[in-house]
Amino acid sequence: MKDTWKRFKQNRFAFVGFLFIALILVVALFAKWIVPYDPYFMDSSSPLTSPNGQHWFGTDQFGRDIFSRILYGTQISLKVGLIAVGFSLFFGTIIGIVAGYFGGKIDQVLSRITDVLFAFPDILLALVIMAILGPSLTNLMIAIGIVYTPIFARIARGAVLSIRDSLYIEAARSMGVNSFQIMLRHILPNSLAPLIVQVTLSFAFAILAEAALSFLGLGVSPDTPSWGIMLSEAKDWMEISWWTAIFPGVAITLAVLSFNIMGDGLRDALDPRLKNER
Amino acid sequence: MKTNNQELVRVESLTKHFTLGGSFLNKKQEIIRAVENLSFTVYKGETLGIVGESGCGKSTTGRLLLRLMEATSGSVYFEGENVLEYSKEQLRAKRKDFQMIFQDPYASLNPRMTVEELISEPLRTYKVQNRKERLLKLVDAVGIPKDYLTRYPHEFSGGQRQRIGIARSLALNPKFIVADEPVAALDVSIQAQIINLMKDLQDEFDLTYLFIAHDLSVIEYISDRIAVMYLGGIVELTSSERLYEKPLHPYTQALISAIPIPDPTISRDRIKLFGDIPSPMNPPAGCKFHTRCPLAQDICKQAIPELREVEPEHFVACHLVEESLL
Repeated sequence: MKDTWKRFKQNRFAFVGFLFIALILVVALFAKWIVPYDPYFMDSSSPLTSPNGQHWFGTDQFGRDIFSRILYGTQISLKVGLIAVGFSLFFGTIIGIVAGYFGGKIDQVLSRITDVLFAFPDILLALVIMAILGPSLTNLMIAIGIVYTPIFARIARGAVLSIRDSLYIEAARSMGVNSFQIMLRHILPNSLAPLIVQVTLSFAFAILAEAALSFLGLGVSPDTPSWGIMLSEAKDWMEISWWTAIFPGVAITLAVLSFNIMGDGLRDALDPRLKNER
Repeated sequence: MKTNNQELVRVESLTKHFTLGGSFLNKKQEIIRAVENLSFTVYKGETLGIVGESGCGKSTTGRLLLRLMEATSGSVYFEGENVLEYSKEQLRAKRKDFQMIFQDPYASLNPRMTVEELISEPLRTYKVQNRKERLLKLVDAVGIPKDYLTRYPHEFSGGQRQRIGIARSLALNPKFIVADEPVAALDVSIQAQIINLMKDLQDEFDLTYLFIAHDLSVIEYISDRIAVMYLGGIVELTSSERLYEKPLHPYTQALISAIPIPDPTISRDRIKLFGDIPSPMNPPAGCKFHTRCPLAQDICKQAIPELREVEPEHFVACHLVEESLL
């Protein structure tokens, strides 16, 4: 663990990503006290003000402060990321470990189901699920969670296959340890590394998916300060006021980029062999 | 000999075939006859050594006995009950009586568990009371300092790791232990320590060992009786003194003549075997050893020799054994 952290820190690029994510987290937690204006407050006297000393990122068509709304947007993004990725991590790992450990028919059935889910483009699948469940933040998180479950299932299955026939698994069986305990205490801890990496990468996708679905009007309610909603509303105004679209766009890009480079760095740090091979 | 002729394990016509191929694209099936028609008895308190070349089925035999692998046919009686007929639940309950020590102490310990977790796992599985006390007794018995309990396997040397593996296999107070080449992965200097430890533990905990090895010196040192395996079958089985003094099967004779003597002034006739061990996918007809046997005759190519008791407590599977007895 210490070695992993040391290797991770040596990767400057990834470390910057990590710091930025930490910053997003702090902002999300303390947004209430940091924001200069109430993100819901509509100032009808100053709609679409360009960035200035008072409104750093300008205001939108209702006169709401964009900087404050972006800060609040971190809450939605992280919440969606956390819950959606948590959902897919939980179910995907269970499916993958069960499929990989038992093999045979169980594996066939579970793997074919995940293959079917894989066959759909991500956003399309999320759209279908949202159309069935109806638009709401909870349903949005469930939809994104379902979309990313097969990825975790596949990674977990692969990891299990590589350690299922290890001697220490056989040793555990020879001591009468039951299958559930073997999966929980032996297989899970030893297949965690690739899953952790996938968590950070999926986090980026989840943020992006939330923005995309909100942009399409399937996510949170329109007055919520979400980066996707902000972009969606800005599309009508960006010809005369570029700042309404640029800042939420930059926020999404930076957040997604940070999670991606941190994920890459984490992968290299967790498995140094992979890096040498490249 | 420690043997009091009270039988603990009796193996009857144990057979294991592995099937290769036979999938959708590769219709051709091939059968590997890993273990064929194996019968022997292990007496209480003894160490039965099984020795043979790689691929002769000795490790498979060990795994079949503990039902880590399902046998194709045959029976294994442990204290009179057929282990191969146990249901899953019965088997799990009985597992604590027969344990295994594995060959590779690097791969047989979960790298993410501490020594304490590793040794306690069987205790927790069987809900043993006073686990801490038992744990301390075990590490003391195998010579691991108790300050090391919170360490992980990668912090130990091979010999120490094998000590941990031994402690774990002793945790449940088993009666029978299958040791699958427990010292083959260790340095020679460490091998002796581990073997002596196993001998001491045998007296202390009343153990019966099935000791699998390919090293003839190691097996002579620890075993009371020795079974020599060739291509999935036993060719000779007798006490270790007798086996080394008067081997009767030509294969055993060749093996024993190949043991180096640490004295350059002694010369002896080595019996050299030519060719490779035949493939268990396509074993020779008749006596499986006839392709390499220096004494082979026509009968060897046709009839499979039975394992016969040619002298008291000396079993040999060879058509020509009477001639060599003369």
